[in-house]
Amino acid sequence: MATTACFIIVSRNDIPIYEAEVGSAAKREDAAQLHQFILHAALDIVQDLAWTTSAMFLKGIDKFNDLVVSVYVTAGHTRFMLLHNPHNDDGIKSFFQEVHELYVKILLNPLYLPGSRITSSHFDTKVRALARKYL
Amino acid sequence: MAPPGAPRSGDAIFASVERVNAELFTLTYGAIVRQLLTDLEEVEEVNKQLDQMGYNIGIRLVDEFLAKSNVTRCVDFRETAEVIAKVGFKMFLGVSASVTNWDADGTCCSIILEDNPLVDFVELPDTCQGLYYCNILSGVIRGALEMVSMKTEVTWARDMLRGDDAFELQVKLLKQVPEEYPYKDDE
Amino acid sequence: MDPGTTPLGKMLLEEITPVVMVLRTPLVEEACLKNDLSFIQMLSPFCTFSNIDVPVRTSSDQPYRLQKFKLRLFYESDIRQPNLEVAKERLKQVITQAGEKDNSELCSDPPPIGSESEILPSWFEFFNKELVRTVSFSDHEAFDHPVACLLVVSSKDEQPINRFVDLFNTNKLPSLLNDGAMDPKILKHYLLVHDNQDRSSEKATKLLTEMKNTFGTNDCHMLCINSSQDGQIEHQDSLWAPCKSVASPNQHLGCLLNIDDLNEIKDLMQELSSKHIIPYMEQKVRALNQQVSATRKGFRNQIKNLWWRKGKEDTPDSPSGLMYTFSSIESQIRVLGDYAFMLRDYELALSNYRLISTDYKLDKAWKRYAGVQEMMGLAYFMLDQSRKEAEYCMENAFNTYLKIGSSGQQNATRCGLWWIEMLKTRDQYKEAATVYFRICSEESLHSAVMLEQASYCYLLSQPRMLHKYGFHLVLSGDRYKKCDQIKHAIRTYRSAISVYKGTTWSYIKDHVYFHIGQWYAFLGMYDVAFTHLLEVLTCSHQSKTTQELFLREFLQIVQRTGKTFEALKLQLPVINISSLKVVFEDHRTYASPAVASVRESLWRSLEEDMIPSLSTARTNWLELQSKLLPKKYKESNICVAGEAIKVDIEFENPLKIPISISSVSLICELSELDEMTSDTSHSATELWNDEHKLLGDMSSDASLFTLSEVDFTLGGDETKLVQLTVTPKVEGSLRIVGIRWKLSGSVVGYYSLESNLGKRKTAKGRRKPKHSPGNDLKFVVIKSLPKLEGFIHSLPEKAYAGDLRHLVLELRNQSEFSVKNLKMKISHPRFLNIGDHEDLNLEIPDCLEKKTNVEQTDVPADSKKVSHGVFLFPEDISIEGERPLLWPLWLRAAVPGTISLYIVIYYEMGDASSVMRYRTLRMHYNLQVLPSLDVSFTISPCPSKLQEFLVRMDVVNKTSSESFQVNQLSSVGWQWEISLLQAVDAIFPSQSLIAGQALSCFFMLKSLRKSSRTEEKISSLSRSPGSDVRLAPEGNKDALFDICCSPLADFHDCERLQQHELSNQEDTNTVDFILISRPLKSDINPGTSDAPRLFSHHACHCSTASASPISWVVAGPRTKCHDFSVSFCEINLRMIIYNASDAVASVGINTHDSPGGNVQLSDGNTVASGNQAGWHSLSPVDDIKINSDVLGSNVGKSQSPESVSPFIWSGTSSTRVQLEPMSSTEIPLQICVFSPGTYDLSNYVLNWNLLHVNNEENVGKTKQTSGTSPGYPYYLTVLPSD
Repeated sequence: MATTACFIIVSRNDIPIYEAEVGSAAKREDAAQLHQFILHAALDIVQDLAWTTSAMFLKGIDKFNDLVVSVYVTAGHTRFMLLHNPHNDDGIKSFFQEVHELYVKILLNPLYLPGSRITSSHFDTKVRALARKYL
Repeated sequence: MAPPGAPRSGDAIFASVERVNAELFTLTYGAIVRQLLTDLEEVEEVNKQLDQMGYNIGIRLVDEFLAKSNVTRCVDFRETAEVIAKVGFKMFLGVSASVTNWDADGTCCSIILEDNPLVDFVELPDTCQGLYYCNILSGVIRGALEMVSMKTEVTWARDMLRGDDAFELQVKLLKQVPEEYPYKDDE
Repeated sequence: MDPGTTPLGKMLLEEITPVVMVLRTPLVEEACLKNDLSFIQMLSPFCTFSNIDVPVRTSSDQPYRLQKFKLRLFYESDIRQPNLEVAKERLKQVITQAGEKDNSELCSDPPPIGSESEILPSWFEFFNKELVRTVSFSDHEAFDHPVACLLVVSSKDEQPINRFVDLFNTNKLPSLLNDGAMDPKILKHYLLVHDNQDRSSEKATKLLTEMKNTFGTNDCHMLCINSSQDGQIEHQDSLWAPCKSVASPNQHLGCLLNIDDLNEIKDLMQELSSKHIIPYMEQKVRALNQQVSATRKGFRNQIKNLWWRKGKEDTPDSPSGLMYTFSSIESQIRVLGDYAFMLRDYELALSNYRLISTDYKLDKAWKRYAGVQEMMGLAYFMLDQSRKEAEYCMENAFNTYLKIGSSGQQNATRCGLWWIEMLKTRDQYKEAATVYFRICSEESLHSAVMLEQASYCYLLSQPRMLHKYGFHLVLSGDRYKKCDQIKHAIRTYRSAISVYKGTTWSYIKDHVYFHIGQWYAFLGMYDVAFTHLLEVLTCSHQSKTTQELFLREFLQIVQRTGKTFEALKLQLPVINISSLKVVFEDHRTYASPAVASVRESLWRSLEEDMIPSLSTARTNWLELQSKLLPKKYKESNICVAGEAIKVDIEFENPLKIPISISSVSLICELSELDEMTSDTSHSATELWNDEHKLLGDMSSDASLFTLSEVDFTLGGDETKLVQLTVTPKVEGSLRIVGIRWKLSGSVVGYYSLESNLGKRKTAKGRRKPKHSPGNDLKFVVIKSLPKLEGFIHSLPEKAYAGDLRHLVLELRNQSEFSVKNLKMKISHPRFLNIGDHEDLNLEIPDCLEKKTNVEQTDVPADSKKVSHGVFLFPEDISIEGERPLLWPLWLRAAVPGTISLYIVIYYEMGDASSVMRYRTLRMHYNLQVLPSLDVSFTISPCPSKLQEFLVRMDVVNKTSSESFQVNQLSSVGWQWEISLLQAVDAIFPSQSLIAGQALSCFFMLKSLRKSSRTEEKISSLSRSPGSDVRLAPEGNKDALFDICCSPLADFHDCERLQQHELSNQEDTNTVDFILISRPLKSDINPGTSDAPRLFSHHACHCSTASASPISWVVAGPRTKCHDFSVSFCEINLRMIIYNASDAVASVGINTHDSPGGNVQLSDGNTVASGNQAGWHSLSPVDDIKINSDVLGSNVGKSQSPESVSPFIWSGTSSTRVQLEPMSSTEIPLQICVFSPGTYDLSNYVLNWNLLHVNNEENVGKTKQTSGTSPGYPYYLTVLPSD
């Protein structure tokens, strides 16, 4: 079935450093900005939760209509935010974990300035592959 | 005129020397490169600078190298290249390289590195296309060879960071300066 | 805290209060309307009592006193469920006019977050109240049911009594009473209204008594109004303001009511409430309470009740159906609860609510159940206990309302609002917000308001949740837009922008700014719209269609305004500041723009020995400057009036759609000398007004300087490098401030170079800190100077190696001032050489052909004064006006490869008064040289003769297509003479050398040198005739070329130097060759063969030295007849030894006959085993060296068997001679032969060594200074003569 999923990596100062519309649903023109709005709004919730729980993976912290936001907070308080349909939630955790590994690799690249946009095409393809695999 | 003791293999030396965490090493080098990039914006400048740094390392390192691995004096450029690839790289980088495609008159060859600890996690962003990330290596070789009286020109023929399948350093012997250098370790 | 003081509490105390139904006759209304007030409006201010001190005793025995109280008056017509549509309309208009109100600050900047209180629109409260009112008089709850009814008749009515009666007859009464939802028999109160204006009141009093008789004394009252005769009584507006909020309050209300009227009204209401209504409610509560407790309290009743419910289980589940009449016990309980609530006896109310909520639940009467739950929640709240309970009830009620579908929607909304208030009072804003969100129905206008309120809740919550705030604002904004409340939409978005300002969430930013811009445009506020739309122009991340949409919208707005906008931060196109390059010409001028891109250092190195060194040059004209210019311009650049300053900069189009840029030009300001001091230095910060000033006097500036304008269109993602120029006309100080351009003909964009440069520089930190960024945009304009323009005619892009051409350099000087003492320097004299003026119109090859009368005297090298590479033009030359200076140049493509030629021409101003003394013209050409003929020579000494050499020339034609005809080979220098060995035809069977062909031919080279080295050295340098060999086929008759006329000779010198550097072996006896060839006319590409061309190939320093510097020959007879019977034969020989080295050599000859002597010669190789006697056949001599060895060894071997030598050397066995350098000597030798035969006289050895080698030039060269060489074989045949 058509799943919409929007994956955004948000740096510690709330700047999106990586965005990907991963989902089999047909693209709609305004989808992009709606997803951004939802995820952006969800930042508040993350803010509240992040310091209360020690868990990195915060599942379904916020929802809008039929879309759920799940977040993975790294130690550096970079947030992987995934907007997805409520039904597929088993793969998400593993998705996040694998993306985290990729992210660490990116972070270790000396030429990458932490907090700056992730432009690596290699990363992008990997992430999309993971999305296909898990979401 | 053989030195005391046979030349030791690169692995032996590598095993004996004390080592540092690879990631620390990689990141340190990375930090240097990044700093260079910020200081002198032009990538070309950075390449030059790296090469120069490498050169400065090389002219010191060769001494260490000859001391640790008591290799015999190389009779010709061919042998030198072999030693660099087999012993030198192994000794200092822990990887061994191979020497291939010699030209006819044996003054130009390429040293090929399959893996290169310097470039773990490294990925060239669009802003730094044209950067020879490992240019320090070429500098080292150049410097070291100059100390043993070989003027060489070392250039990158292939670079994994640019999508090639290996690292290939092309070493070209410009001219062999007559032996007036202090490194006649065996005469 | 006291719940009564909380907002919710206040609201409840207002909304949940006894309702009084008012029935009145039209005349009453008439009387009141004189005051612009309806009857109710007139009374309403007096229906709220802050402290009527009334004792109340409900269920419990001890009374409590009631302070606050309020009555709600309604006309009978209003006592019914309000029509939904009407309600909606009213709400709508509330919103709209609220929107109209804050029209003013729409265009102002959004307020900063943090001042919540004033952000929060005031009309929310009112709106919510209205929203709550939409569900009043529902039948499922009792607190809207009239408690009492007030019948009002005017004294003017005829027979008022009857009026009173038929006022309260059923057909007029509201449905609630009629259909039995509530008890029709309620407390009645009779009021007679008397208008003091029309008649005196005694009739009224009479009526009153009459009423008292009929309706009972204490239920009747009389009210006199309009007592004041002149309608000039002013009241403070606050009295009626709330009820007249809708109407415009310009007419002064209640003008006819004087103070005792008001008092009368007050007393009336006071009495009504305290004496009648409250007691009535009291006793009703008490009665109901007893009844309820009788039937329902206690265990038995509970059971019975349950069982009974079970009994009527099968009743249809009708949510609001009238299964409960007022008489039903449930309604009674409900009424009881509500009365108790209104009398503030919340305990009692709560208990009763609890009691029936279960029943309703069991009966599945959901609406009533929800209503009860709602009241329970409120009761809990007012009791200020167990918040959980309260909230649980509210939520329960809310959900239940929602559950019963559309009919419950409004109630749900009201319930929600109360719930929210409850949460707010407990600072649970976040929860409140979520409730707001849940209130949102599909009916978008309401939900818009709700969402907006929700957003403010997020803002108020601790900690603030700005993201949510923004999000909900946007959501509500969209809803507002949907029901075209554009102003509200804009308002919400504006506050949202304060959240999203400068966000990097690109899509969000685009969405917000685009829509708000659109809406502003919709309202016709184009300027604001413009500024907002500016933000979304550079949306490279958006899809193509979106980008088009944005751009179209933007341009439409601009069109609608009609004027051209000026945008300081127009992001389209993006200007790549790092690509900025300013090219200007101070003392250095460039022949072509491309030249400017050459590295400055390269020019410097070329110019250094032509011009007075740069630093000093600067100072000495700068101190000239400093006389007429203030100090601050010292560091800034110099440019010349009338000469353009070029600025190259990149424009980049971030979009995928093409955009058209027009009239791109620089923004400059040029302040003339006099006002320069007054001219305030603009800092880039106040660039705005700065630019406006510039725009203002752009016209006046036009007189000062001219700007170039460029138009172009940028395709999607395209980047263009644009060159802009400014040409100052007068002296002064010029500043390039920025760039202005027009986007698609309507929007003018500005870009401040200085500020951005500054940013860039500061960003780049420590590099060259002293150099302040502005400086390369500041110029001092000095008065115009002559400027040379030069170019070289017919300089080819590509040529074949060795190609020799005649070029002409043309220099022009447009200005009328003259320039003098010109100098010129060329980077590669090897390629480009300067001719002298007379051979301006020479023609290759004729100029080179050997004249018959060869006078070597013309030595042009003296005429052209070349002082270390700098060519000085003759002093008399000065260029001015129209007449250009033409000067010949010789080009020779020396070596293959691409070569870039740099030419610098230095010239000085005619008049010394000018600020700059000199200028330089820089020219730069690229030349690609293709390989043509590849010539190499190998020289080996001639075996037989001294001083003669065999020269082998290998020529390969490396070209792809060309074919050459080799004309002549010349050896340079008088001390060599070259000659053919074979006939020319033998060498070139086909007259020419076709592409790819290689051939080699041999020549004889003869050295004519005496043993004097000094002058020989000189002569080698000076142009010496040398000797030529014609290689051209016999066919063509063209003469030989003179290799020592100027171009050839000059180039040859260069070649010598060049090749000398390459082969750094210092050897005196070397020879240079020049091969001259020309391409055949039969060309593949006839385009090139327009002019006869000539190729010269120079091979220098071909060494003639053999292995050892000592060479010798043995001369003597080869055959001799001798009669051995007479005696043994003596033969005299001569040995001539030549010392080719440049040192004195001592040579010793050792002959040896003993086998031991020549063992050393047989250097242990075992060739030719087997003994060979003196007789043996001989292989023909072809190679000297090998032969000597082999034979030597043979001799050695041959000695071993018979130890007798066939001949002996007579005379001394060893002689030693001294040899001067380059000299030869002759030594006599003699041998004695005893028998005929053929003898090899090779068993001697020459040991030579060079004495006192004068080694200043040959250090480090491994040149052997001594050696031994075995003898040559020399065969002598002696025949017996008989």
